[in-house]
Amino acid sequence: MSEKQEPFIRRIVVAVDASPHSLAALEAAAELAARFRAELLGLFVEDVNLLRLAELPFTREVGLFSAAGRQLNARQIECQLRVQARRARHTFTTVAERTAVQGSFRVTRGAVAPELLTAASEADLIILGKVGWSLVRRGRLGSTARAMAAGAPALTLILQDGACLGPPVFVAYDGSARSDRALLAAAVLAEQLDGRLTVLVLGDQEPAIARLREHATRWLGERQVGVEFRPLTESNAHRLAHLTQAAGCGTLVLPAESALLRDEALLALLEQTDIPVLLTR
Amino acid sequence: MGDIRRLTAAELYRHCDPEQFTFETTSDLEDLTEIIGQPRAVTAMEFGVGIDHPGYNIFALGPEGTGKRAVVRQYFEQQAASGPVPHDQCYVNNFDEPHRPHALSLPAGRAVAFRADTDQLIDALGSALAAAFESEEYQTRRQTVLEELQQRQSQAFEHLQNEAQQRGVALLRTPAGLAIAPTREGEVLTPEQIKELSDEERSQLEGEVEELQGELQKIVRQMPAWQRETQENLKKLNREIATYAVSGLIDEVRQSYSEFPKVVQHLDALQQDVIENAADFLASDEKESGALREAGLPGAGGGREAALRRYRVNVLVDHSSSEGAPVVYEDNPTYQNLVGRVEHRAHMGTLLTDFNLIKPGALHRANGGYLILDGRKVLTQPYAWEGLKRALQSRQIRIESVGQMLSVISTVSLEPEPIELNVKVALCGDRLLYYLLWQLEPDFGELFKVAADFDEQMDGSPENQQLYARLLATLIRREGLRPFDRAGAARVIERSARMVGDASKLSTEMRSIADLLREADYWAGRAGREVVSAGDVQQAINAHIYRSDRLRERVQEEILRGTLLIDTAGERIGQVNGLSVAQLGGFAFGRPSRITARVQMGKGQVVDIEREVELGGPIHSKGVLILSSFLGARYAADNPLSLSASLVFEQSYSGVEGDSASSAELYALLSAVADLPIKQSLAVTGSVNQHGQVQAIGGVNEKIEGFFDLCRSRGLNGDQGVLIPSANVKHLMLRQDVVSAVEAGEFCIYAVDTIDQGIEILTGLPAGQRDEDGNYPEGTVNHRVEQRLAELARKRRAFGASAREDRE
Repeated sequence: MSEKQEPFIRRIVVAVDASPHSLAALEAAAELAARFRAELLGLFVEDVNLLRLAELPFTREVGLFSAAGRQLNARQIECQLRVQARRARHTFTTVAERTAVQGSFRVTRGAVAPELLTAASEADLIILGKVGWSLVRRGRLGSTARAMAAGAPALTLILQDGACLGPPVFVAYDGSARSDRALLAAAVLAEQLDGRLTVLVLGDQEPAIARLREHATRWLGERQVGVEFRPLTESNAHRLAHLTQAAGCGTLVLPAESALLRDEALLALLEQTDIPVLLTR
Repeated sequence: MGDIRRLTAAELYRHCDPEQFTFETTSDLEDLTEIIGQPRAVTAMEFGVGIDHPGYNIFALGPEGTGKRAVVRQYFEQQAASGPVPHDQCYVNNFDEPHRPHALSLPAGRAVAFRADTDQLIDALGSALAAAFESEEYQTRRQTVLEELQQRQSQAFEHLQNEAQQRGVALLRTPAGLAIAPTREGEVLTPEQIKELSDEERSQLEGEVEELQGELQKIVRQMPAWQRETQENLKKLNREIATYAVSGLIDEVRQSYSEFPKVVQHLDALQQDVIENAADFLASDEKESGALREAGLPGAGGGREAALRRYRVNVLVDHSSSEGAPVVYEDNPTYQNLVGRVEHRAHMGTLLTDFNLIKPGALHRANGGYLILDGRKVLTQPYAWEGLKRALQSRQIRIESVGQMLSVISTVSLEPEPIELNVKVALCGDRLLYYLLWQLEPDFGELFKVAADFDEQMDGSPENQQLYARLLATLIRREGLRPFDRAGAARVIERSARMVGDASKLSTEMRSIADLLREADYWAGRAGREVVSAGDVQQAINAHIYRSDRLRERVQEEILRGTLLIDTAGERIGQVNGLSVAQLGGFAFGRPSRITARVQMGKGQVVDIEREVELGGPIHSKGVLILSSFLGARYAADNPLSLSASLVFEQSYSGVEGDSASSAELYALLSAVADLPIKQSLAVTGSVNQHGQVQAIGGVNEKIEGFFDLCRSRGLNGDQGVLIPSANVKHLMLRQDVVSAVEAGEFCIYAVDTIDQGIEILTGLPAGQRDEDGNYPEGTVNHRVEQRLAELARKRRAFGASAREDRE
């Protein structure tokens, strides 16, 4: 049994760019920050790859609507990034003021994923939208989200476009230390939402399931949540996605890097589901 | 020369004998349903109502109060009761051309039902469409269509991405588009790294980037077409789902109206429109702002309310509770009240309208039946006559605003489909109006072929008096008055004869008769009687006269005080009392006037002073010319008429018109010529012709009473009296006090046929007739006149001869 430490959320980082997904993420982040009285950090990363691209003599930008090829130039890209950053800052300030959250906004330059990982190391929760742009099929995980799912040190909340954090909270549970922590985080989140928590207990044999259930109940202790247990016969991306969708799950809490879902399976789940997923470490 | 007729009291007033009636009070009498005294008008009405051809509309002409409208209404209602109930009328949207709403005609009562069915249908369509578009089937299929697009796009991009990956480049999103970038380990190559490449590697890389950029451009160019295709597919899907959802519902309604092709046509168009605009039904009302919803206008945002408006049925005329054909009286026949109007509503500073705002006019309501209008009102309302005429001519009701007609208003307006018109119109108006229209309006004769001419009087035969009594009883009952006893009713009948100024006639102007009945009832009530008697009727008459006769009293007073000089005693040469009638409002009274004549030697002129100063009208002048011609022809056939006479109405300061004083003027002139005095105790009325016959005049009763009142004020002495033309005797319906005075021998009324009779009475000398030698006997008036004229001629000749001598 691992140490029973409550996941305090004091600092939330949210990645903000010009996409609608990031706006949804921002809204969710502000709401959570308000609930946990946490500090909110908005982060806009000026993608260094774009600046490099502009310096190459033979690359062209193809307009999404005009389909016209244009020579890129670094000054122009910088200028465009500044405009985006300003817009992102404006949006961030507006949302923060509306939700009365103490927040700050930061613009950094670098590769997006490493910059976010750096920011995440100072935070308790990092929130980001699932894809950066919409040309690719729905469900496709953006490169940034992919990197974060794989390697973020803090709690990571990944939101699909338009989705927002809501009840009921589901959590996958296999009795491991990591899943204990996930269970606790889910309980904390459920308390903040509607007080209901559904625990998907992994196992197909009754005695094993009953044991896990008992374990989970003990682990949750005196928390003010109504717990419902459901069996999860096998743990794979497809099964989880289907089950949660069918049960009307509002938010799914999963332990990252656990035996429940190995890395590739976790990414596959994230690609398939529309439900906000909170990854715990 | 005939005997001079001094009229007896019996000739002065034609009594209506109460004993001829069998009833005690009018409540014993049955109501009179037939129309009396208007045989011509009734025949015309029967004909006009019966004939069923265009143009046979009716013009009911006659004086006010003769019951034109009531008679017209009665005939129309009789005819309408057995007529078929006309169709209901409604307007519905024209989905192809919304500014030209379609007119629908449905059997009586069906329009309201159709409106209810449509409203119900719209509700049902709303829920059916909502259910259809929320159904899993639709959502899945819609998702599939959208997914297809997504898939197409992402496949294209994925393919490109994979291709890029294989060639060591990546697809990147730039702030304003996409770009192909050479990458190494997920990062874009820096220019330095590029430089480090060999020339060959670099050109290969450049080539690949360029090639992929071309691919990328191709994909982006295709995207709009894909999107369009998706939109088309979505539309197709929407249409299919909507068709499925609505066709069953609309079919149900269509079936119940299958016998009306126009309704079916409308429902087809409605179905098509609903399918095309299904989204309107799904739009939630919350999206519309409150103000817009209240305005409920088309195009206000395409919400449910607006959608409802578009499909609604505007019932213009509903005959669901009608029995028989309609009879409509339009009290205020303005153009819009006749042909209907299209209302507008102000919305954000503009005026908007739709077919729901079409309002019916009297022609719509009367269509298939009868319409009664007041001719004068129609003509005084701007464009009302034009509108009525056009509708009757074209046999269509076309709703157009006056502004539209004159092309002065260019706001959004409608041109509703014209409605077939089949109506019989009756215009009520006075005779002048009818004759003016005939004369001045070329289309009038074509449109109003039937004239129902209402008479203001009827024959006063005993049978008619019986009917008249029943008519009075009917009026009394209808007005809720106390019953009249026999004598009371008889007195009303007598008054009726006096109203038309003819003892053998009765008035058909029932409005005044009804006034008299009401007033008599009032006086009976004041006296606490349950039954109205002759005394009450008389009191009502007297009170009415008293209320109106201020001016008459003033004139009498001034005569008595000597301001206006009228003698009623003694004898004067060249001076006679004439009588005139003043009409003021509904009251007429007679007024004596002094007429004087002076003669001197002259060239045969009779100067009408009134004429000279343009106070005399043409008829008056005509009378004077006639009498001078009579004078010359009778007395100076062989000699030149060598006098110059002047005639004047003394103390007359306003116009004199009419020839009723011409006999009086002639008497004054004869008196002046013959130098014979005329009795001032007598007054004269009557016109004269070239042969010296006295002819009838109007207002004989008022004239006699006017002189009588003056004489009575000064004291009746038995000498006083009035000369009237014999032809006027039948018109006498004199006041009771006059009749009594005559009966008592205190006042006399002479009926004269000729000037000779009149002059005898006035001078007390015989007029004289020519003997075998052609001479008038000495001592007669005519002899003296002739002598005097001959003397004047002689003197004139002598005067002429001496004048010549003087010149020579």
